[in-house]
Parts: sequence; C-alpha cells; structure tokens
Amino acid sequence: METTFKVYRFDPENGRKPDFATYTVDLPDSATVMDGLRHIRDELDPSLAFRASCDRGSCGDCALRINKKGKLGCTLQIAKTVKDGVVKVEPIRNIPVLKDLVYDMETFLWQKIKSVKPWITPREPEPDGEYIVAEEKLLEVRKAMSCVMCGLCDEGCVVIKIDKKFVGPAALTKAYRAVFDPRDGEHEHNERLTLVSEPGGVWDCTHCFEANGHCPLGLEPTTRLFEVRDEAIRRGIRSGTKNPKVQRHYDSFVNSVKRSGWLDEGRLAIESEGLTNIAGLAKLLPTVLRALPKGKAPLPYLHPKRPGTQAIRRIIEKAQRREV
Amino acid sequence: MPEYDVLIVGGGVAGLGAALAAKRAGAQVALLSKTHPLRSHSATSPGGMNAAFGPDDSWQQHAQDTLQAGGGLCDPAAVEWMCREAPQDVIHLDHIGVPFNRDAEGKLDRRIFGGNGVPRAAFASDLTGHTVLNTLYEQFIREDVPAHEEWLATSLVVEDGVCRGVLALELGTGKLEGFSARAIVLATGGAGRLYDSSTASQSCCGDGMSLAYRAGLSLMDMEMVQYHPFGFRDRATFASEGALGDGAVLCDEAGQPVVSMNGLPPRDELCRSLAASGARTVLDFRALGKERISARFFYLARVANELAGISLDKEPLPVQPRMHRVLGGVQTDLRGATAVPGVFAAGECASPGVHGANALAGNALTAGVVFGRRAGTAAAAYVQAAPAGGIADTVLDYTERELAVVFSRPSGEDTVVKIYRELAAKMADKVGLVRDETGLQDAAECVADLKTRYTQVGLRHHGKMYNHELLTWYELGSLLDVAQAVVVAAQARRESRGVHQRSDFPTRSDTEWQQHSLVTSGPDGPDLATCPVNTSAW
Amino acid sequence: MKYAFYPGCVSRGACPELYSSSVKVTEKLGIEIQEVVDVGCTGAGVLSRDLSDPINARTLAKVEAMGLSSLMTICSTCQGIFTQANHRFKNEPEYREKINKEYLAEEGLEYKGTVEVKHFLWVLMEDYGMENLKPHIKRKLTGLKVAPFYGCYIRRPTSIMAPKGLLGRKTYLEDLIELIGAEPVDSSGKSKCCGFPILTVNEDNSMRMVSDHTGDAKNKGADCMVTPCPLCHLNLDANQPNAEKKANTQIGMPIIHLPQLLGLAFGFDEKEMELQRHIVSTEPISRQLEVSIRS
Repeated sequence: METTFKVYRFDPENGRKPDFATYTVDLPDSATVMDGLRHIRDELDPSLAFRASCDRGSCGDCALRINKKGKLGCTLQIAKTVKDGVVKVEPIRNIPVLKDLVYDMETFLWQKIKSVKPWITPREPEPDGEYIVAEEKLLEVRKAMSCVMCGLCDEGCVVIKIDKKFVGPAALTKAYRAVFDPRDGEHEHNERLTLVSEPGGVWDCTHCFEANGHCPLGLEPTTRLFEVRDEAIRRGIRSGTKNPKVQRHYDSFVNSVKRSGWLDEGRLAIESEGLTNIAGLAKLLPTVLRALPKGKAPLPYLHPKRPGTQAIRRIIEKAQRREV
Repeated sequence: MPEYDVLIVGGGVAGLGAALAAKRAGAQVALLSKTHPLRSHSATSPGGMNAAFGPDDSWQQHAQDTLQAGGGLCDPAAVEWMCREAPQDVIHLDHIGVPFNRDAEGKLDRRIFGGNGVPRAAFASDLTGHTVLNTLYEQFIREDVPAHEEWLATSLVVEDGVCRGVLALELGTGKLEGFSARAIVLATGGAGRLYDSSTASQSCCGDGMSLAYRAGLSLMDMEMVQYHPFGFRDRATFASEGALGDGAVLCDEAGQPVVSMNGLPPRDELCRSLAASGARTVLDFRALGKERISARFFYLARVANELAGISLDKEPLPVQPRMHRVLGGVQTDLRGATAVPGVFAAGECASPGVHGANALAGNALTAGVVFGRRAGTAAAAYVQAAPAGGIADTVLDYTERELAVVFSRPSGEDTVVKIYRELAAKMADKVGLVRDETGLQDAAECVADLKTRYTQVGLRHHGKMYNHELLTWYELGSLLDVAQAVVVAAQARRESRGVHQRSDFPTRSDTEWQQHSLVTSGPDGPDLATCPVNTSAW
Repeated sequence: MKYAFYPGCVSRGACPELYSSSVKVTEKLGIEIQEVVDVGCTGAGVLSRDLSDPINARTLAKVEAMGLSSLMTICSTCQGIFTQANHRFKNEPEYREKINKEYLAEEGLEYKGTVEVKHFLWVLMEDYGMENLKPHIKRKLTGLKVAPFYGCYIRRPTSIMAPKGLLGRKTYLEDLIELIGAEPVDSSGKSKCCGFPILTVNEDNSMRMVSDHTGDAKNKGADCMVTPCPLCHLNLDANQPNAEKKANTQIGMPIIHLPQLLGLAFGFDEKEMELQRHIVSTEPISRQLEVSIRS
C-alpha cells in the first residue's frame, strides 16, 4: 500500500524552524505506523529521530500523535489510520520536543510518577509467605499496572494543556495501583492519599473524562482518579495540607445538602473562601455585585428546605459513619 | 566524571534487581541504561516465573526439571541456587507489590509450562515481566538511585586487570563520557536482534556480551539459540507458552490439535517439528471463554486484535516459531562475577550456567530476578575492598578520536542498516533451528565479510542528537561480535543437544561434548575453548 | 410520553432563567413533565460516590414510585452523574441491592433499575424528533452564528454517554441550530470542560478555560454560544468578566441556555426567555434577531 507520511521535523542542531517532511512509503497492508517510520529512517532519511523499543504495545516508548490522535505507533496499522493516502505523524502535545519525534518525558511524566510515591511498603505484620488476598482485589490493581506509561492520557488532559504542574491522570493511575493494593502499609496509604490531595493533585482534575478516551489500553484513568479521590474522602482526607479551601468547599457542599437537600450556592461560595477570610470574601464581591441586580445571586443560608431533606440527611450521616 | 561504587548497566528486571540489592547492601550505586528502564525488554515477558512454592513442589523437583531440559549442560550448582532461592524472591516480589494472580484461597496461583512436572510459575495475567519490571522500578525510584537514562555503554574500562568503569555515549547529545566505578554489573539483556523474525525488542543487541567479550571475557554456550513456538506470523511478539497449560489448543489450520498438554514436547522439539512439517498452526483460545481470556491473557487479547485482527474469544490466532533468545552469555559464577575483578553480569546477557542447552520454560524471569539480586549483592561486597575506579583522560580522548574516525568515513553504497539486515537474515537462514557444517561455514564467512564491511562503512547522518544511525552502528558492532561467537561455537559443537541441532551430527555425544563452549576474543579472531560442566555441588 | 423532571440545584438558584425557559418550552411542545420535588442534589461530582450514589438511587426510586420510567434533566452535570450512577445500578445488581437495603429500605423505597435518565437535549432529539419540532418554529434565526458548547459531562465517558448506536449525540446541538435556521460555528473547546468543577480549587485554570473557549468562539465569528449545562453557563457567562480580566482581553461572548435558543425560534421574545438576566449582554443576539425578522 503506497502511503504518504507527513512527519514533524525539528532539529536544534540545524537551527531551522520545525516543519513537516513528506515521504512516500510502500509497505504491506499489515504494516504499522512504526514500520513506516523505520522504513523512512532506514531507507530514505537517516536523520529522522523517534523512540521505539518493544514494537508490540508493551513498553509505551512510541506514543505519537498520528493523524491528530494520540496513539502507540507500534500497534496502529497504517491501514487503520490512513486518510486520503496520508499519515501525519507528530510528537504528542503539551511536552517539550527534543528532536523530531523525540520529546522530554522527565517533567511531563517521570517526575510526576515519583511525586505520588507509587511504591508498596509491605503491610504489617509481613507474612512469611505471600499475602493472602482475594483475586478480585488484585484484578483492578493488575489492570492499572498494565499501564505502559505512554503519557497519552496526560497528552489529552485539558488541565495539563494549560497547567503543567497538574500531576495528571497517568501519575494518578499509578497512584491508584498503590492506593488499592491491599498489601500496602497503613501509614503509607494515608500519606499517599494526603499527597495526591495537595494542590495540583486529584482536586485539580475537572473529571471531564477526556483521559478515558485517550488511553490506548482502555484503562479508564479518569475513573481510577475518581476512585483514588473517593478513597481519600473515605479516610477523612478531604484536602491536602496546603489547600484547606478544598476541604471547606467539600464540607460546605455536604452540609448544604444535609440542611436543605440541595446545594446552597451562595453559602458554598462564602464558606469555601472561609467565613473569616476577608480578602477571599472581598474577591467574590464583584461577581456578586454583577449577579445581584440580575437576580442571579441566591442569598446564602436562606435556601428553602426541600421535602425529603430528612431522608437525605439520614443517608449522608449513615454514609459518613462508614468512612474510616 | 560521575563516580560510583557500583554502576549497573541496563535497567530491566536483572538490572533494577541488582541496583536494589547493591543499595540494600550499602553500596553507592547508580544505573546507566540505553532506554528508560520501563522501556526494557523485560516489559514484554508474558507468562510467568518458575519457583517451587507450591505444596506439591520442591526446589529439588524444580532443579530436576531444569536439568532435564538443559540436556546435561546446566551447572547443577547454579541450578540449585536458583531453584532454592526463587521461592523467596517470588514472595519478596509479592510483598513489594507484583500483582500475581491468586487462586480461590487468595494464595499465589500457579501456571504450568511445558517441561515442568507441576504448575510452578507465579504469574500476573500475561504481564508478568511487565509488572515485575514496574514493581522493581517503583522500589528503584523510592530508593532514589541515580539513573542515567538513554546512555549507551560503549566500552568497559579495565586497567591492571581490574574494573575501573565504563565509557558511555549520551544518545540525546552524542557526548562521550567516562563513568568511574569500582564495580560494573552488566545487565544489558539479550541479543535477539541477531535474527530477523525474532521475538526481541529493538534494543536487544547483545551490547553487554560484546562489552565483556572485548574486555577479554568469555562468552559461554553461545551456540544455544532458543526459538519460541507461538510467535505472531509477522510481528516480533508472541503468546505465552502458558497458553497451553491454561487450556488453549495448538491446531493445524484445519482445526486438528497438533499437540496436547499431556504430550507436550519441550519447546525446542515442538519448534523443530512445526518448522519441519511446514504446517501453518493456530493457537485456539476459544475454550477458555472471554472472562478467562481477559484474566489470564490481558495483553495478548489486545494486541491480537490490534496487530492480527483476531478476537481471541472468537477465532484462533495464527502462530509460527520465532527466534526467542540466545541462551548463552557472559560466563559468570554463582554470584554473577566474571574473570575480571569488579565486572559482574546478570540476566539475559549473562550465563551462570542455569539454562544449559535448553532453558526450561518459565525460568527466564526467574534467572533474571535471582541472579540480578545475587550480582548486585556480590558487587556491593566486592567494592568494600576494591581499588577505586577512575578513567584516565587519555582513554576518553582516544575513544573520541576513534569516534571521529567513524564520522569521517565517507558514506557510500553500503550502509549500517544493510549490514545489519544481511547479518540477521543470514543467521536466521544458516544458524537457525537445524544447522550443518556447510551452512555454518557459509555463515562464518558471511559474518567475517560483514565485519570487514563494518570497519569501512560510513554514516549518512552526522548529527549529535539522537543519531539513530550512530546507535545502530554501535549495536551492529555488538551483534557482529555475538554472531561470531554463536557461529564459532555452533561449528565446534559437532553433536546435537537441546536447541543446538546439527543435521550432520544428529546424536548427542556426552563423552566428547558434555562441556560448555567458551568463546574469547583472540588476536586473530574468536578463540574457542571448552570447560567442564560444574557438577561440584551435586 | 410523560417525564419525571429533575431541574437540579442551579436552575433553582443562580440560573432561574433556565428553569422558566425549560418549563415554557416543554409546555409549548406538549412534552408532559412532572417535577420530582422531594429528592436531593446529585452531588455534582464533588461529593464522594459513597454519599451521592445512595442519594441518586433514592431519586430514581422516587421516579419509579411515581410510576414513570423516564427522568428528564436540564443540566449536563446532573445528567452525567445520573448516567454514571445508573450505569452502576443497572450493571451491578449486588451493589444496587446493597444500597436499597442499607439506605432506601427504611423509607420503604427500592430502586429496581428501570429508569432511563435523559437530558432535555436527548429527549428532543431521540424521543420527540426533529420532524415534530419543525412545526413549532415560528421564526428562523437566520444569520445568527451559534457556537455549540457541549461541555464534558454530557459527552463523556463516551462508552456510556454516547455509546455505539447513539453516536449522533455528538452533533445534536449542531442539528438543532441548523433546524432553527441559525448557523453552527465550530470552536475548539466545544466538548471540553468549561472549568467550573475547579473554580474553587484552581481559579486560574478555570478562568483560563473560560477565556480560551469564549475567545475561540469569538475568533471563529460566533454571535453567541449555546450550552445544555447551567454550570457551563455560569462559568462562561457569570465568570466571563473575571476571565477577561485575568487574560487581559475583551471577549463579550453571550452564553445562552439551550431552551432559551429554542424558545426564541418558537416565538417567545427575549424577555420571556429572560435573556436580560445574563451577565454578558445578549445584545448581539437581539440585533441579529431584528435583522432576521426584518429580512
């Protein structure tokens, strides 16, 4: 099958601006995009740089943007992506490019993986033999661990796009692996959950579920991130040590629903800032002043109770008692 | 110049294990690796790792099966230590978080591979190597071990017969640098790229074998080249042999079973009979059902779909034998030590003598884990009384000038890639499942010719940053060394044993050949020697 | 068909115009709705699912108790949370039973898993039908350039929000915009998060999303944006001045609710649709409407 490859080229050594080079390749129908790139490098242009290792979807080294979608180049057959005879190959987004299709994973992913402390400390008492653990408990841990660290979920993340400090779905999926491993020690468990609840952690996620759509293995990173957050809440960790506002926001939300069955938006805004936080409250003022004359600023604490509030409060109180 | 007590070269299962063991033993340790550790070939190892932890098993039985598979060429002492220590290593891996599959009681589940008397492989779906690698990496970053990623070690520095460090090339910048170390642990992985249609990752180029060989060390049992029966037809990947034990059936294309688990011949025999019959075979997973396929073949189900267009629960997967790995490697003792003080080796690049003439299925990861740990511990002990590392500026200067010569050669018709391809094609053609003198001589001449071309070939690309042609040039140099060792040893072994089958010498000759082959680099090319199988411990 | 109606918190608080326009438009179309009043907030993705799942199961049980099998929402966030929770309730019967037993039994309630939760947008497109909408169009909004803004919760996770067989959900807004004679404008953020969920946690990021989305719609020539989600509306409209300030730019992009846009085409005037309540002036819409009426 004859295919035109349009490949992103950037070489700091030649001082030219990034551009696309065009190559024509003729490969068997089963050929992958990686086969195409290797053919180009071997036969047409030895200066082309890209990463590739396992060539079978196991190692995550060859994550690329192929015809505008984040993909592993080694498991994507050309026939499945080619559009009008063209395969366009670029580095993934939101990451510094080093040369051509080689990019810098250090701050993008590796440091973030380390920052969530995703290692297991054997739970006490450490048995002589293996831990006795139900298969169902390890099944999801194993799935999360099948992650190849390709970074494609982070590549598609709408928060990372504008804020490189956000730890992101990849590292939080890695955290999931440790958080839900029943063999992990108690102390480390809480320490990690606090860590991922700090600024830049789980609460910075918009839970827009983009990551689920970007994972080439179908590992549902957003869903796992959610579960990590809920596990933290379950253990009474409603924020990290450095973002008390998150906990105020959460508690106010819960209290509001408890009181009236519904969300008291005005109360939530005020209590999130903190009732004694004059500067924070003052910051709200312009928004309130704009909304008031339009009838769009519901008055705090005057929220009418809805019927059924009693039952809802009972549910919340019961659920909260189940938290650790 | 970075200075360390122990420098581990290679970040796969053996390398990370060695680094952690050396760190635990108190050494100042660092890692240098051609790829990021998580991109290592270990990530592709699917099936499981043997260890006699089951109630119906014992290390002696595991050893017996290993020796049996090894065709009289395993060192029983090495086999004994591996089999004795493997269960403890598996338990340790469980404690630090490898998500091994569990049985109904919540204990480690076990999977059986051909040649094993009982199910004894601990496994994590078909992601065993991947999850072991990732778990070790977690502990590795926890220990904050310095890691030099995307550096290629280009030579071992040995002075006065003692290890002093390595020279290495930073792939991102093209910079050569010396790394001073009292001890080096080579854990660079295998040499599967020596053959086209292999199951190896792009990185498996025999780097460490060549480093050791050029430093005067011996490569042992290099003629032993193993094939895997369940390779994809046109991809460098494969289904775990554990498939059969788990209920998949190997059939011909008409759907007739080719073998049953009961009558499952050893891997090498199966590959040879499949290749000889020319039958196109398929692996049929349908009897397992969707749920079991997903639980035990999580990886395979995905890539069968992506790369072969096959849904395992609906249709059988076409398979064929592919070259799997070189079983031999740098000769080491039970601690991973080589003949050069301070140089250790472990994992696929090393040969402590546990695989012999045929590796027992399920032993590869086990050997990597056990001997990786042992080598790290031994290196840490060694450095306590070892002379300091250190690399003279002249050594670095000399190497830089050498590299400049390579860059200055004119590029012509011949290219690094051409030589690479011809080598891999020739090895597959003449040094494959069944060999004979004519073919081996042909291969020997071809390798010699390619070596000559290698010394003349120029590079088409002269950039410094991520110059893959330069990397391939280094890798090809390693592969040519390894090829020469494989061919010389295969020519010398005039018998058939294990994976080494000679149509011109079809029988096994214990009187003459129950000994290891050793290849060292001599002034006029490779020198072949033999050494007896070490039976001392048993 | 009769729907139980779940208005959500925001349409009863900061976006009363969404509530009133929804009621007016459904009435006009003859869609019968009955508000389910004695139920709680979905948790909006803020509350832990340990808390929100039982509350939502209770809501769905109430709908069953009303003898109805469809619940209509007018908020993508409510819709998203309901769909996800309902997916768990329907696919994990043991989990549903546990919630029934532990939380609902004491009220004599039980959720059997029979309710479909449908956003107003889906009700229009999948139950009511474009053909049946056509006769209600009293004036074509010709010339009005409308950028659809789906936001995230009504689109993802794709496997349950727009599963195979319902892939059309990805263009419902465009389809409706065209139906009423207006011109859909594609903007890069149309199915991205609006930033509302992180408004409290990370205001900078949230405001950056607002200025990116509204700014891009403006650059693409849109007169206004339309959204099926009041939270998107709040962030894109009420916070647009804050976002403009942070980005040091002027955008002035009107954001209207889906029922408001339809209401205008069905003959309601701007007052009846309460466009005057919006923070960002809807003047450009009014101007364009005048043009299209005159021509």
